[in-house]
Amino acid sequence: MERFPEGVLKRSFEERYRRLMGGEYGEFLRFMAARPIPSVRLNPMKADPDRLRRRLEGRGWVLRGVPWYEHGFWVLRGPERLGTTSEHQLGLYYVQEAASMVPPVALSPRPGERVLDIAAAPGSKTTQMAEMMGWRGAVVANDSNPGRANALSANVQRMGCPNVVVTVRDGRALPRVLGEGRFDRVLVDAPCSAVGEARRSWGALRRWSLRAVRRISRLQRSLALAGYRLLRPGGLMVYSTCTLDPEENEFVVQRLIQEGAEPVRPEIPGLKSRPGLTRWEGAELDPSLARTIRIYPQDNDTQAFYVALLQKPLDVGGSGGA
Amino acid sequence: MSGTGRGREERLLSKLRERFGIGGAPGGLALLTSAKRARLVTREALEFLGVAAVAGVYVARETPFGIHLSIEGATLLGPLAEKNVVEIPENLVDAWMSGSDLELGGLLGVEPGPVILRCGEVYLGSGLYDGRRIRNMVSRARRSEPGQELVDYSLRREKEERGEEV
Repeated sequence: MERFPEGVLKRSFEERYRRLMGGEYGEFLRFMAARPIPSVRLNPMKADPDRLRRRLEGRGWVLRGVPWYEHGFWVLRGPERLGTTSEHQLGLYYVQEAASMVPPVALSPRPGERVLDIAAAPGSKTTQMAEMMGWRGAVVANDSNPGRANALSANVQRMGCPNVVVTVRDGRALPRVLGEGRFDRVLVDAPCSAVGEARRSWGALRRWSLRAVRRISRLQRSLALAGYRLLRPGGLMVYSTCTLDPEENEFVVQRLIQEGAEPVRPEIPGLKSRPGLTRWEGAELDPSLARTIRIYPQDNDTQAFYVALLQKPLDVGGSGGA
Repeated sequence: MSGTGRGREERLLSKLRERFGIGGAPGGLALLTSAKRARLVTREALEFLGVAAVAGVYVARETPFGIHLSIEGATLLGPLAEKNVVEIPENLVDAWMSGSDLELGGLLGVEPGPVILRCGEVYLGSGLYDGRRIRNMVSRARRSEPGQELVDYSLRREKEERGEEV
C-alpha cells in the first residue's frame, strides 16, 4: 500500500490524529494513503438502474453495490476517466464517493418537500436528494462562490433535476433572504479541512493546520446556525463534513444542541460507523453527541466523514414557520 | 425566442406540438421561457424563483433551423412526442455523444428538420435531419471521449498494497 511521501503529514497533524485515533492510527493512515476505488451513483431519472447496470457490465465494467444506497456502486473495473464517457455525459450516472452518499441517506428527503442544501457545489448530494424526492418538491441548492455555483448548475442540468433551484448567496445570510423556518429538511455539508479528501489528493493534508481548522470551524458554526434557523419546527437537518476533527464536527453540533437541536441516530444499512465523541482534550460534550456518527476510512474503505442528524423540536419558539 | 411571457410560452408549445406532437409540459412541471431558452421546473420550486440564479433544467431553444431540445429536454419531453423521434442502435451512441453526425438516410415517417434521438429508454437530445443524415447538436461541454481502455481498479489497488509497480 502507498505511504505518504515525506513532508505531506505535518507533525501537528500527526500528534492530533494520533490522539484522535488511538491504537488505530496506523490503520487509519494506511487507508488514508490508499488510492480509492471509484464509485458512481446511477440516475433512475434517465434509465432504469437495473438495465443501466447490465448495459455497463455488458461493456466490461465490474460493479459492486454500495450497501447504504441502492443506486450506488463501486467501479471495480471501468474506464480511467469516468467523467468523460457517453453515459456520464448523458447524465446516466454521477461519479460520487461512496461515503458522500451517506448524508442524503441520513436526511432522507421525501417527494414534495422543501429542502435546502446550504453549501451545495459541486452538486453530488443535491442531485442525490433531488433523485430521492422523485424529482418532486423543491431543493434549493446554494453556493456562495459563483464559479462553484456554475459547476453545480451544470451537474443539476446533466442529472436532469427539474426540482432544483440554484442560488448564489452567502449561506449565513439565507435566513434573511429565504425566511426562517421555511424548509422541511436542511443539509449543511460544510466546507471543512477536508482531511477525508486525502485519498483523492494529498493537498488537503499539505494545507492542514490547527489554525485553519479553528478558522473554518467558526464558519461552520455560522452556517450550521443559519441552516438551523431555516429549518421548520419538527424538521430534520444533517450537519456533515468530510473531516474528522472534533472542532469541525462535535463542537459545531454542540452549539446546535444549545439551540435546542436533538441528535437522532441515523439508520444507515450496511455502514460501519463510530459514535460521535462526547469528550475531547479535557472538554466534556453533550452525551447525545454519541448519536452522531464518525465514518473512518478503515471502516468501509471510503473517505472519512462525520454525519449528525438533528431534529428541531416542535415547540421551539421564535422561528417564523412557513 | 422573441415576445414576452405567456406569448413566448404559447409559441414554444405550438412549435413542440407542430414538430413533435408534444401537447404540453409533463405533469407537475411548469415551462419557463426567456428570450433565449425554455426551462422546466417543478411547481413547488416556483416559489423560489425570486432568489434563483438558475431554476430547473434547460430543455429547449429556438434555432434558425427549428426547435432544439437539450438532452434533458428530450428526456423530459421525448416520452410525450408522437412523431419525429429516431431510435438509434446502441453501437451509435458513442459516435453521437462524441459529436459525430449520423448517416441515417431514408428514415420512414421522419420529416426533414429537428428530430429527437433515443436509444431504448435513454434520450440523447435532438439533431437536425436533412433526409440523408442527422446533424449533431450535442453541445461541446456534453461530448464524450469514447474508446477508453478499461482499468481494473481493484487489481491496481491490490498491486499497490503489495508495493508493486502499477
